[in-house]
Amino acid sequence: MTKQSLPILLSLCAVGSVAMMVLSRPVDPISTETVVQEASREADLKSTAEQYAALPFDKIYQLPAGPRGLEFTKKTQSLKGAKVRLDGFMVKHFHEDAGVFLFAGVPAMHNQVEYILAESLPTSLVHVLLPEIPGRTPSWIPQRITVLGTLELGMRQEIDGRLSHVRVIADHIADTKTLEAIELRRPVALQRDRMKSGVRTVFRSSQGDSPQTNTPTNHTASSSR
Amino acid sequence: MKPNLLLALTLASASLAGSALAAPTVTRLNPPSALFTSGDATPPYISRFLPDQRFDLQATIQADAGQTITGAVFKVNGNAVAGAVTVTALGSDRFSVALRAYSTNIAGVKTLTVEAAQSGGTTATAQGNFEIVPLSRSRLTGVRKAKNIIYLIGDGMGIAHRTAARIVAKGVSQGKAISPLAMDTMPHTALLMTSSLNSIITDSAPGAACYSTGNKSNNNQQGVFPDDTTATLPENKWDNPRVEHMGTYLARKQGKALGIVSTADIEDATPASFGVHTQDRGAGTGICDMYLDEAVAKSNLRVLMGGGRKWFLPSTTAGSGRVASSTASGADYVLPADVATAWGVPAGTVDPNRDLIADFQTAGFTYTPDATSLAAVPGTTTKLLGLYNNGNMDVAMDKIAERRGGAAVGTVTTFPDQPMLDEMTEKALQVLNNNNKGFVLMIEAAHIDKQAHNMDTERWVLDTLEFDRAVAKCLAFAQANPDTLVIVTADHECAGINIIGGSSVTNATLVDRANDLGTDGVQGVITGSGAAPDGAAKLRDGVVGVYESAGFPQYSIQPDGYPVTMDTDYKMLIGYAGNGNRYEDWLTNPTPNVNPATGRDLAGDYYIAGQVSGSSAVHTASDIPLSAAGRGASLFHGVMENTDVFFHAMRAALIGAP
Repeated sequence: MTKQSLPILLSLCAVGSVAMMVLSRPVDPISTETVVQEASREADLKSTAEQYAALPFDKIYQLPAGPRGLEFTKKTQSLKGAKVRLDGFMVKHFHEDAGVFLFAGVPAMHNQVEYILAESLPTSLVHVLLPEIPGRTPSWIPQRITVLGTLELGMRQEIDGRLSHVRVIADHIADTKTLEAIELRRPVALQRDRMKSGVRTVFRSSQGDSPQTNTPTNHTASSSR
Repeated sequence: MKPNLLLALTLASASLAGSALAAPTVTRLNPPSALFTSGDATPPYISRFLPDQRFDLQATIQADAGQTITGAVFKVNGNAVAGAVTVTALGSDRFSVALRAYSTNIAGVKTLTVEAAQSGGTTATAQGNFEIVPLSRSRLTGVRKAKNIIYLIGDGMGIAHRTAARIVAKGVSQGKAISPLAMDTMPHTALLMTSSLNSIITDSAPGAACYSTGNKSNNNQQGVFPDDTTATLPENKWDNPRVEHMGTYLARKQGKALGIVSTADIEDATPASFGVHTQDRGAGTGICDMYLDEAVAKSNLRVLMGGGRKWFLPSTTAGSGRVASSTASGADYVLPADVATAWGVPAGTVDPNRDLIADFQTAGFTYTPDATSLAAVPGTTTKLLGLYNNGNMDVAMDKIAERRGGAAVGTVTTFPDQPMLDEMTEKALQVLNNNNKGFVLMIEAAHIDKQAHNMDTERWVLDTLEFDRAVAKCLAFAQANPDTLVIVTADHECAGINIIGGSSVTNATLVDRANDLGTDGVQGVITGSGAAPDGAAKLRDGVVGVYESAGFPQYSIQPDGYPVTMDTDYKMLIGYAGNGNRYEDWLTNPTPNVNPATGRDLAGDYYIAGQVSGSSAVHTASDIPLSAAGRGASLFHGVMENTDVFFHAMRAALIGAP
């Protein structure tokens, strides 16, 4: 199989899978099996995962929080820039950036239409950055997943107004139980359960610039953004 | 002819005439009025103000192609209003003209005229109206003024939320409530109509701001009227026509203090509706800056307590949410010069690295980050800032579970010592009562709404109980300080909640059925018609007892005031008319804020298709109850517009009431 034909094949698989889902399951939820089926058929990531240091969500910040902000644990600080593995759940939410999803240690949702950025999300929230594929965004799935990637620390302005303080530049996304790779990015039009945005706003900084979105061209240079 | 058809024909004729004549046109006139939008000069008047309450006059003009608007005059009852009129180009030959911080002492219905001059000599003219509500002293001899006004807002709390909380906490026996909630004991009751300026369904911003300004606004907006600058100006979130808040007015007139207390992120819609002016309820950085820069200075804000610490931390501090923008979600504020000058407030700046906690402390505030430090606040404290979570505070159920030594869920592990709302209320009253000129205090139980959106019955019931305990604190304060008006209400109803019956099985049976995967042996599976027949048979037909089958659910209450468990035998069951998709097993969800359509209660296969899209329930247009006690409470009765609450409360404060 050529590299050029792979995206086409994946798209056909995705469309076929979603069509099957639509026919057999007219009402949500999305099944774990379906999502895994449409993932790229890489070899399982068990041996790859061993090269990544585990970073549990409850070890990211010192607990409990201090009165003047959060503080990273020594473990987190020591893993800055390193390959890390986090097991958790995609937050069910809307994100302006097609290459980003929020990742938490427990199942969680945020209704941006109702609350904008007034949130009840876990404090140890991680922004996961994926190379963007035009027309596709990370599609929420209800299962526990594993993110393997490079840990970035430090404040970064996201395009939707959030500040991220912990990011993982994802190399792989996998089902936690099997460590089979999962392709989360699906056509927006086929994401029937996709959350809606809140008040549509345009980011303009005081310097007149804007945060970069997570396009493939700036993906590898993420730490410099 | 039906009025609407007549209006449509009139507007169509005007439009055709306008095309032929190519004259500039006034497309918006603020304050909003039926006279401007539909030519109706009769009551009800859309915009109403107190004598000397300040508000902005604004109009949007569509100029002829290539022409500009060079100036404008606003006239009230035919007399030109003194003051600078700012002309702002909006693009596409549109212009905004505004005269800021207008007020008049003379009561009555006023005609507002705008005359905008276009380059070349033509003029655009339009008329609207507004009312200055009289504050007559007639027939009120011997009455006393309300020194203190306390608003208690159960966000999203409709009648059924109250009833459900009463059934759980107090019980019903042989048809009678065994005892009332604190809010049930308040002697005066009204129903409020809650529609916003642009929808029958309000959100929390205009639903709460009406109590602070006396006026309707569009959804998402607080302390302002809508304008047309949204997409064009960098300051668009902050330039809307303003209406003076109750707190500002009473600080200016009577030296009263202001307190804002919420279990939400303190930038959320309801708390911000009492101290901030913006069209974007999500502009957290600017909203929290404005609390200090404007509300402390102009509204004598002395108590600010809730969640939302992230907005107060410099952006380089982990956990900060401060945004380096005046336009994005979470934006900081930057005011146009005419707004800052006319209202006498700082223009603001985008300052993501501001240490807002330190700035509050410099302004004399005592900062408390947890319940322990809150409890230790001495009686002499006059200014209090409390930030107990980075985002929303945790819900009552999860705070109570942690206090009882149970599992820490939500963000309780990160913030394990969060105060209960009644504890925050008690301290707020203590601090504000140190101002001998009185105070306005708004206390919000935010999670009644948020957990109703999530269709998480047990959590919103316990938050309603937490709210009622705060009500009890305020009623006790009012008893000791009789010149206090206590108003308990909501901003809107959330989720179309009602009590549909009682479980006809024990909790053990319910657990068995909820965990039974059914005939298909698979959890969360539904059929092509969107139903889950085995789930409905197990968990609906076999559980939901209606009429006499509902019986009288009984809950055991611990000394802390909350149920031992919500999963009692034959428990109360709740239905949602404003529901999103959800699975339901009637049992307490172990963790909060989990998607009800895919993340919880799946095993029992009882799927309830939503009447609205998505998996979140929605606000409804149902009228909401209001209870009042104390000085001026008798003014509240009948069915009222939510904006009337402001005028009755102000009447009690300014001229007195029985």
